[in-house]
Amino acid sequence: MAEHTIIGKSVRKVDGIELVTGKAKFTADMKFPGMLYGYELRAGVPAGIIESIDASEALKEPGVHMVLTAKDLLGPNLIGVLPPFDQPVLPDREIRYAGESIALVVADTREGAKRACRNIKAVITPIEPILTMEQALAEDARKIHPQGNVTFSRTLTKGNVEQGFAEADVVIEGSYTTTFQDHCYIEPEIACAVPSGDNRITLYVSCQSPFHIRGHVAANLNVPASKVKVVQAYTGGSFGGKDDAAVEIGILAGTAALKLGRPVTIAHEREESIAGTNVRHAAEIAYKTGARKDGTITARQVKVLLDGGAYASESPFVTMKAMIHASGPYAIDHIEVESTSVYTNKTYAGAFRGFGVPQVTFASESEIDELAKHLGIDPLELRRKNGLKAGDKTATSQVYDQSVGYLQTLDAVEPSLRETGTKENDGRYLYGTGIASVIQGISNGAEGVDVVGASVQMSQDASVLVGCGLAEMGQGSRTVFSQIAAEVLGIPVDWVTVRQVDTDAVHDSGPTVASRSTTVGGMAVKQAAETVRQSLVKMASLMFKTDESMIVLKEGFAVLTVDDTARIPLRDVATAAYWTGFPLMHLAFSQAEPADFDHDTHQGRVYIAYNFGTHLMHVKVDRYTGEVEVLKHVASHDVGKVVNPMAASGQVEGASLIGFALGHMEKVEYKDGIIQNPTFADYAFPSIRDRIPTETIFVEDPTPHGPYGAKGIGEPPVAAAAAAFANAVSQAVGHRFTHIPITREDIAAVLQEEV
Amino acid sequence: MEYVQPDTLEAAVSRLGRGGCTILSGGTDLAVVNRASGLKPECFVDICRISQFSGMELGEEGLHIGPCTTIAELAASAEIPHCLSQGASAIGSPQIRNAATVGGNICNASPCGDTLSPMVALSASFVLVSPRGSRAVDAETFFLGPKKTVLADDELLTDIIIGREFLKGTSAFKMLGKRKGQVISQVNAAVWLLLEDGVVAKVQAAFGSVAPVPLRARQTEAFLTGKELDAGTIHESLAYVKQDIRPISDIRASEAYRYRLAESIFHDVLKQAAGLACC
Ligand SMILES: Cc1cc2nc3c(=O)[nH]c(=O)nc-3n(C[C@H](O)[C@H](O)[C@H](O)COP(=O)(O)OP(=O)(O)OC[C@H]3O[C@@H](n4cnc5c(N)ncnc54)[C@H](O)[C@@H]3O)c2cc1C
Repeated sequence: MAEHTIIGKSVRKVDGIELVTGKAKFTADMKFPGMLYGYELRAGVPAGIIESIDASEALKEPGVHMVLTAKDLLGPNLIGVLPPFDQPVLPDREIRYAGESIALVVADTREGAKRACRNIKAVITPIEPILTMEQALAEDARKIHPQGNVTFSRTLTKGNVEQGFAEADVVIEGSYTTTFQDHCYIEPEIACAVPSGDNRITLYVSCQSPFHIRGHVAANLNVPASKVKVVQAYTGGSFGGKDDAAVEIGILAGTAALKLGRPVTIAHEREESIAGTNVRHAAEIAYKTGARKDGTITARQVKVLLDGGAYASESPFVTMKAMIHASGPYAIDHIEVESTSVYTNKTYAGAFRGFGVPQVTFASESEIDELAKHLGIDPLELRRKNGLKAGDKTATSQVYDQSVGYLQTLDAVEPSLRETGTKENDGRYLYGTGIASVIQGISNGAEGVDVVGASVQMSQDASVLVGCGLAEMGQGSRTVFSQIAAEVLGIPVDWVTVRQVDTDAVHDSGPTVASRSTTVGGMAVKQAAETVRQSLVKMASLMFKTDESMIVLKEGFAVLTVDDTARIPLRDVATAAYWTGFPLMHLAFSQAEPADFDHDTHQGRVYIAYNFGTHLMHVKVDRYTGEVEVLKHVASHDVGKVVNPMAASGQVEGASLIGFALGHMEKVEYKDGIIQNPTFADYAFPSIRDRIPTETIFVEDPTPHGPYGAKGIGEPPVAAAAAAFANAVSQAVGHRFTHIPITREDIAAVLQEEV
Repeated sequence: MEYVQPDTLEAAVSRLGRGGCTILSGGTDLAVVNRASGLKPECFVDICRISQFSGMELGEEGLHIGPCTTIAELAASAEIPHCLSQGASAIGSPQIRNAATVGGNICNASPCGDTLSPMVALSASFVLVSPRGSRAVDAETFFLGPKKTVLADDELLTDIIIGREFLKGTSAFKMLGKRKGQVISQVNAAVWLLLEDGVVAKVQAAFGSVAPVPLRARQTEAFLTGKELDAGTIHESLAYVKQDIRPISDIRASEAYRYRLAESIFHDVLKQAAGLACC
């Protein structure tokens, strides 16, 4: 099937109408009879020992039903991503960050619960907090967790960097830092637990990994997983942020609901979302890069330190991902990357769109520009000279013989390099151009097995219900799955419904992460649809009394290949198939080729594919105020195959804006371990007016591992946009900024000239 | 908790006289304050039903602006001095501007309130009414500190008057914050200018977010008065801006950056008010 009728088309978001008209029910819209509200009391000190928590006064307040502390929990009081888990739902003794919940008040109203929190007397003996990675790694440092302050540390070794540096004509070194970034989804975390008469509990929750939540909730309620049903409500963005937090409030709401026999909702406020739940890791990164005079990079040595805050969360995997991606989309013979995440007494860091790649990409691409300057080689040419091609060895020495479209992304942005537009220059504005490239692994890769189960069920009227354990959280997986099912079955997209994720009804498909929905999830949908298709084709061949090879399914009909007017409506075929006993439903599994690598050197097969990208930005900098206007932003990515151009461009635009904000605006600011800007009044999350003019150019170099050749696109633009911004501004200002965000204030501080 | 919505000024004043009241206008500041404090006032006196409190009218003394006139109305108005509609346009989002009122912005007395520097630059006069009677207070003396004004507990802002003199001339406002939309000023400034043959006959300027209250820039004004307004003069005036303001460092900006922004913003508003090409 070379010609596609639906794949590759800009099909409108299938759930768009209900979302923009407000019909879609988010968790906060759900009301159940007798529903109560929970509000969490937070520690307020970054480190301390809980001596006692006295809730007697709070319990006396009208409308207050219950106060939960650690001792009231029903299970092991332990959560996390990778065993051994290290995070309590509510700490029973030691407080490890200021935003940590220490008690839950349940009351008739959220306001009442919040007010009652003020009347809980928590006696906490403060401990000297550990607030920097340097303090955490000091030899005599207090241990935040029993095993010490190193959360996870690994080294990647390819070739021999000593030899690589010996072969170099120039060696440059740089140190770079990045800050914590919050997810800032429009809908903060929320969970609603509803106990039911059959001894089960249903959790409606805004989340991205429903089965992960089910497992943790069941364990911590001390009930079998089959007693817990998790329904992923419409999710107002997640970006990696609604896993740990959803687990935490899911358990708390569930515990209260079980104990009280009433529905309980916990809905975070913005302050709680920023200060209480995971953020992007801050990083300190040191690079050493060696190259020959002709630009050939001979070696890169990198040391990555990631501030993971109080708990491990996804730190181990982020540490690995940063390590594997630190050397960039380049074919380099000698690479050594040491990557370490560290515990500190700050809000824990975890998954966030990009997953460790934005931090190292900013540093790596800044250093590539510095190298270009040193060598007197054009930055784009330097990238081209070293860029990965099919057949080259990646940092883990994996070789792809196709779908390595990196060089094409450089070609795609190149014409825009010279299009700098008109420059107003009364001495006030500085202009600059930057490019940056990214490589980003698709699939769980080194993070473990990657399996998705998807079901496709056709009704007798030929409409189709798709069920998959991956969550729609705005990225458009419902639309893509609809397109794939419609393409395979030859029906219009609007005959397909992709059901809500409900752990009772779909197969565990692992977390919705790592840009894997379209690639791994889409493959499962395709396989399931193909099996249903076989029943239809078989039935149609009986009806036409001809060979199966003579049948095509299209436009809602079974059609003879030799006579386009010979058509049977698929609803008749489906009905006949049902009465004949041909199966019309199938559950298929797709499994990404498992990773297989050496655990010391990290050499081997890691990801099923990489997305490659190059971004270009032209910027105009106001010399007086440091304001930056992005005049042009071109983003080119090799996505294998574009399943839906509109949706894919939307992903590039959204991810680029997050990257731009990481590069220019957002930072979580701490003072003595307390976050100073936990609201949008002071946390500079971009508004719609800060949008950048992203133009997307897709490169299609298909991968055999994704449906129709498709690779994921959800994450990669974050890293490239942040890095391209840094390079463009550094060029405009004539100063290498080694820290992101590069704020207006930072720029103004460098440009000391008078107005 | 009590909630009253008087139709007349008299009814409002009489309820205020009995104490325990919080005046509610658009509620966009109060909602945030009450959520943070968790406190419930005894009585909300919602003043938006009082008909004379909404809209604008030209009278003998000048332009009267009712305290419940929405920020959106000000932003769209061509009758008021430009700096005031620009200041209003800079506030929040469309949703906030539709609910928020000018009286609320003034009485909230945040040092970064975006209509405050225009009010001070325009020497607006505020009419305050309490059970003890009525008084008029100058914008410049109305503000005492962050969230502090001369208003007594039982006193109400009933009218804002922009004198006739300030309806002539030209004016401009500009603010900068950490992002482009829905943002709190790191610095804002308003200038009102009367030029005669290219010479500054009279100028009034004010800054916000550079002190606990909006500040008149008297030294800058004095320097500019009587001068021909060219690039050189504008540049020289910036040295006086520095002397007129007293910013601090906080979560929104450092002191040094605020000085820099104040100069740059003043440079821009002055050029804009003078009709000179800029930015
Ligand atoms: C998301 C958001 C963004 C915002 N952005 C900005 C911004 O960019 N710039 C800015 O300046 N502000 C901003 N604000 C603040 C607020 O919207 C404005 O200050 C608004 O003008 C307040 O008007 P209001 O009618 O809502 O006031 P209210 O909340 O009703 O009242 C504010 C205060 O004034 C008192 N009050 C009101 N009217 C009177 C009166 N007639 N007499 C005596 N006292 C009175 C009230 O008791 C209260 O203390 C923002 C607020 C929000 C929530």
